[in-house]
Formats: sequence, C-alpha cells, structure tokens
Amino acid sequence: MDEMSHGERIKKAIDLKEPDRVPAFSPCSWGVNLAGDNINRMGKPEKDVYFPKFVHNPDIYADAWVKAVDRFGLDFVHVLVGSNVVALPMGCKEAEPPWGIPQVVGEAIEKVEDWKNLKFPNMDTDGKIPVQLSAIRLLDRELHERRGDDIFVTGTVMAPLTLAGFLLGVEPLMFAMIEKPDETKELIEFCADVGIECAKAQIDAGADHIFTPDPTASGDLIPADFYEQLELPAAKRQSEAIRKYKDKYAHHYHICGNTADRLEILAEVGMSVISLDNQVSLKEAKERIGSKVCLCGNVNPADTLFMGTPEKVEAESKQCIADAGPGGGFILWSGCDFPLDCPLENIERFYEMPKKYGKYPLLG
Amino acid sequence: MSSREEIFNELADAVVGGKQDLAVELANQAIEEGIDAYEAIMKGCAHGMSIVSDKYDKREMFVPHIMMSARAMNSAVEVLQPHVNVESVEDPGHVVMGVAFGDIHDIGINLVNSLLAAAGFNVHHLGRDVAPEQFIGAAKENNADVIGISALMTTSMLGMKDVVKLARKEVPGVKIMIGGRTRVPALLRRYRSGCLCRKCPGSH
Repeated sequence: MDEMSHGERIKKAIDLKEPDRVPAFSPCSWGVNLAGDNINRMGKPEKDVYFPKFVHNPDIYADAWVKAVDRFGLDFVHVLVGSNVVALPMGCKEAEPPWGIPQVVGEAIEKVEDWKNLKFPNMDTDGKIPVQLSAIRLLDRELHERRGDDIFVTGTVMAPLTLAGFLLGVEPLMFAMIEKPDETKELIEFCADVGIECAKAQIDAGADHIFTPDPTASGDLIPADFYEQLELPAAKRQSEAIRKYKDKYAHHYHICGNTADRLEILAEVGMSVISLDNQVSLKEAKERIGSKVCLCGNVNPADTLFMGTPEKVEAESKQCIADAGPGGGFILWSGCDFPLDCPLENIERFYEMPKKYGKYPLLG
Repeated sequence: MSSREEIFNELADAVVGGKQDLAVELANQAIEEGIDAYEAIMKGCAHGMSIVSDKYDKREMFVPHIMMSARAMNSAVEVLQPHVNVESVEDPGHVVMGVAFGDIHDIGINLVNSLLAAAGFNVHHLGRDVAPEQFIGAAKENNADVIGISALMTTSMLGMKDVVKLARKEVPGVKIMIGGRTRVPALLRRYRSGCLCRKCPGSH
C-alpha cells in the first residue's frame, strides 16, 4: 500500500523533497493501446481502435486512460489528441495515418514576418481543441470527482519555438533565426501567447499539469546562444503564466537532444519539472540543476522501451533512479514519448520500477 | 600559393561561413579562370562541407548555420556543375535517398543529400513519405549502389524494415544506409543494414 496519494507524491517531488516513492510520468500516444480492445491486438496490424478514431473521440480517449490507470497504477494521465491541437486552426494541415501520430504536413505561413496574419485560435470551437478539452473534462470527472483521486491530469501545448516550427516549417525557421532574428522572436512570442491561452483552457477543463514539449529547440538542432536569445524569454514567460494561473506544480517542460551544454540556461525557464532526452546524463543534470528543478527522465525510448527486453527496461530504470532519485526531486520517465508499439511487458515492467527501486529512503 | 588553390580555399571558407553570394561569385571566378569545375566542387565546396561536418560533430556548428552552408554550397555547385567534363570524371556511384513511409521529417536527409552530392555522388532524392516499392523502383531505374532511408519517428522506423526486406529480395547487391533520430544499434542489427549514420545533422 502506498503511503501517499498520487498528487501528494508528485508535489513532494516537485518541491525537491523525498516522497514515499519516485513518481512516474505517463506515456502519451501509447495510450491508444488501451483503447477499445487494442490491448489484445498488440503487435498485430489489425486494431480495434485506430489512431484517428482515438484522437477524435474524447470518450474513447478518456476511457483508454482510465484503463491505463487501473492497469499500471499511473501517477499521471496525459492528454494530447494528435500532434498539436493549435497548429491546425492556425492554418497548418495535418495527415492522420491509421497507426501513427498525426503529422503536420502543410505550413501556415511562408515567411516569418507573415506571423501577423496568423489567426489566434478560439479555444472553444477550433479544430481538435474542443476534443482535447472534452477528454480532459472526462478524466477530471472520472478520476478527480467520481473516484476522489488526485492523479495529475496532464494537458499539452507545444513550447513556443516548436509551435513556430510547425507554423513556418522547421527549415525556414532555421534560416529565419539567422536572417530575420527580430521577426523570428516576434513569431515565437506570439506562439507563447497562443500556448498560454490554450494551457489556461486546459486548466479550466480540469488539467493539473501542462506538458510543453520543445523538440525543435533541441540541443541537436540549435546552439545554446540561439536558445537563450530566441526561446528562453518566451518559454520563461509561458511557464510563469501557466504556474500563475494554476499553481507551482503545473508546468512540465520537455526538451529533446543533447542539452548538456545548456542545462543551467534551461533551468531558468522556471518550470515545475524538466524532462530530458536520454542523451543527457541524469547524474550530471542532478549535480548541476537538481537543486533548482525537479528532473524527469530518461530511459531510452527506442533502444530500450521499444526494442529492448523487460530486463533492459529494469536495468535502465534502476540506473535512472540511482542517478537522479537521491534526495527526491525526481520523476521517472522515458527520454521522449513512448513509441506506439512498445511491448506491453516493457511498459508493465517500467511502471513496476518506482515501487521496486524508488521507495524512499532509497537503498544504496 | 597559386590562384587556383586560393580560390578553392576561399570557396571552402564561403561554404563554411554560409555566404551564398560569395560562393556563387567564387564559382563564377573559377570558371572564368579556366579552373577545372569538378576540382572546384571537390576541393572547394565539398571540402567546405566536410569542415562543416566536423564542426557539427564537435558541436561547434548547429543546424541553422549548417543549412546556410548547404545553401551556399548548392548554389556554387549549380554554377560549376554544367562545366564538369563528365567523360573525365569517374562515376562515384548512385544513391537513392528518401524519408521512410509515414514520416515527413526531412531536414537531416536534405543535409545528408547535400553532403553526398558534394562528395560527388549522384543523389536521387525521392522526398518524404516514400513507400518501400518506390525505393526499390528507383534503385533499379538508376542502377543504385546505395539506398538511404531516414526516419525521425519511432513509428516510421518500422517501415525501414520493409524496405530492407524488399531490397534484399529485389536488388540484393545494393547497400542500405539508415539514418535519422531512430538510428539505434538494435535496429541496425535487426535489419542487417549495411551502414548506420549516427550523427546526421538535424536528427532531433
């Protein structure tokens, strides 16, 4: 029997203290495997609920997460009905493969300075935002109200620079950073505003926590000084707004790539939790920024969770807990979202790990 | 230092610095001075891109600047290419490239294409979201030596397997190169791919 509720455990970790055990963050898109009868068809090409149906039907989406909670004892559930719910109403096009995360295939603007023509989406009516909000409401009702559980319902908005990459295209954005830095900054700040409003709508719908992934600000793509000049001010403002609107536990920032050269800069965002790519050593991150922000990560999603064995999942999870768990302030997760076809036995093993190796006080 | 070598070095510097106009100007100057166009591509442009590649490995250069370099190089190559004496140049080989089915992320592969072209390969780029049959068709049509597949998404990396399987059957002599963020050693072993690009720029 756990000593703390899910919410108490998470809050303790974010307060950089030791909870009863290390909390674990949830997968996002992998949740589709719990939809309908998909769990009995894992690894097979025929599914009961394909991805488009999953992300267009809030009832199916929420039901899958409730099943995931019951199966894995999750601390968090994670709502993102697609790849990005605001890019579409702002003018992007999206392709929806039957078994894959929808992808933005058409950009909204051709030139960075055209950001002024972008539509500010209406959070109540536009695109799949209402589906996103309905899924959050359903989970809030079932988990919080009906069950009286304080599991963190997590909403999602893309971090500012990443949303800018969707709207303009990543290649043009890379050129614009060098050739039109002022306009690029304006676009990114505008994206921060859109993200803030979308986050507020999700909090109003019942979200406890907002996940803002920033793959396009990856340490493998842009240099640290670009991050500092272009993304940091916008991401910081967004983080402050989210935390002010909800509470100090409400913002989870994820960044891809090797960011070892800029961990201190990232911590300046002020997020409640930072999750790091598996290219970053959690041990090093713990030493450098572990006293400022709760760390989250970072089992290898492809090599280990998807293609590895449960034994490999166990060894790597144990190592993550040993590296970043001491003293608290740590949430176990993958280095990025879980691939859709991660085998069930790997996921099951992963969610057993905090109970096996993450109980405080940690054993040497 | 002869003027020839000076131009090669300046061209390489212009590529490294991402100076498109200067690179084009130097390419034109090379033609005017009767310098061998192929040599200018290899010792100027390609040399510049190989410096860029080293700088990416050392994290001294990142993708925005690499893209500026690739653009400068491509523009200079456009000027030089028509002047290459095709008969005197040994054919270095044909590479069919594409982003795996179900994936549209192509920053990395575009840069790799530029590097391959700069190194003298004939690159046949099939674009994004390429079905396995298209890879094989293009490999047959162009008598390819190598098929290059890139995937960022962990979902699309599964599609690489189908390309490899089909290639083993239809074009068994062709080498397979895989890249992108999903470049994982386990994948290499499982798909028995010939080569793994571990450090493709842009594989975020």
